[in-house]
Amino acid sequence: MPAESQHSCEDVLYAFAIEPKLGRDTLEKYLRNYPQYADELIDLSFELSREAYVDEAPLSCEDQALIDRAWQRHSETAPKEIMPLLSTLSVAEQRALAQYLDVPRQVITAFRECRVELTSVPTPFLERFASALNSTLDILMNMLSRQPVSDLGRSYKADARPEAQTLVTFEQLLIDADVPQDKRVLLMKGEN
Amino acid sequence: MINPLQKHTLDGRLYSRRSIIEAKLVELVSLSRDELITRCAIEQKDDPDYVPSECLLYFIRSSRTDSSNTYFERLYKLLAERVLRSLPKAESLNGKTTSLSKSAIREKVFGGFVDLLVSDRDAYLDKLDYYEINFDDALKKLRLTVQNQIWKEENRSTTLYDEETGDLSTAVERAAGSFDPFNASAFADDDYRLCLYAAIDILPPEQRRIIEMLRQGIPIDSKEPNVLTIAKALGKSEKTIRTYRDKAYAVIRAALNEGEEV
Repeated sequence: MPAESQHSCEDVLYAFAIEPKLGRDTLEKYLRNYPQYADELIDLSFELSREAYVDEAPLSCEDQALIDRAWQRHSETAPKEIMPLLSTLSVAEQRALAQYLDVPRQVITAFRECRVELTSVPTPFLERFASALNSTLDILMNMLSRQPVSDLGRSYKADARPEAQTLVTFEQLLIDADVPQDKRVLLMKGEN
Repeated sequence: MINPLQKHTLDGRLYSRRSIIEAKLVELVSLSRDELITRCAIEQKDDPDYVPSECLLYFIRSSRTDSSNTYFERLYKLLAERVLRSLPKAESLNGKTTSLSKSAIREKVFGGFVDLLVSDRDAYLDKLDYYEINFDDALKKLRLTVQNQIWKEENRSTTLYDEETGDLSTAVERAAGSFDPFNASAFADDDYRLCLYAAIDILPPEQRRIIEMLRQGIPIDSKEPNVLTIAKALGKSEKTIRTYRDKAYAVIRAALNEGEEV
């Protein structure tokens, strides 16, 4: 079965909608790759060609109430309790985790302190990391990526401009931790 | 640091935001909260300080643990208002579209977007990444999906004639002739475009699709086997496509002429 047929209609349509260049070439490409979604793609192509609609009239009371209710619902939704996966690990557990991931413990420490630039970390490494914590990649990424922005947010105590946080790449972290080059190569490839 | 997106493209690469949005985020994260709120409240898109909805969404998503704060409430409500303003209200442009449908579509799209934000608050929802890449077009996709659901529920049939027999109602029976509804000079006129789109909206789905593909310059048929044609894409014969096209043009011309007469 071709790979294209494994994508849901929703993903294909969203992907089409946000293509940077919409036009005949893009439409044709999608129609060729996803003929099973031809009707939906053509309908969306027409919809995307319409000019943006903007209602400039003052908000009605009904609309204001709609927004207020939406906010109420949003604010009452408690975020899923993200277990303090890393922060409560004992030293022994950190050591075991480091051993499992085949990295020095200071690498784990850097992740705990959210000092690592996540885009530089190979996905297979993150997947093993998440798995070692009995968690999922999404939750781990959520936790590790939340911190820098939240920290910037919380530093607005006096509405002063915050300092940008300096992050280290995964490879640099390994170098700083004296990980031998051959092992670094494997870790960067996600083959450890 | 700006959080990277987590959604992957259809061919497995990681999505990234448009460079203009990334640059704007880098600029905005350095603002104080008051400054950011002031900027986000600007409604005119051509104002140099206007904050794109993609950026507004980014700040709301990053508030996952802080959303009880009035600062994030303000951001949320600003974005919610933008979503509502982008959805046509019940008043239709030419009286031919059902106003109840429009009202239902508006509410469902808004509700659908609210649902996405709620889900994302619970756990990162990579579907919202689409909206951080191109908010307006992602919302159009959502609107279309909702519209089709509602039309299906309403068992909507706006055809003015029987497609199978080819009979046209007396009111719209005309020779379509050689006609280009998208000719540049006419299309430049705002009223013409509104009328044209309203007319296309009420066409049966297959005819609407043919019109769209013609608008994109896709040929009805071709002798070359590798060329994508309307006939191939829709799985119909060239003759059927031409027949449907002519009928669609007849309806559109009738609607445009009525618009002129009003």
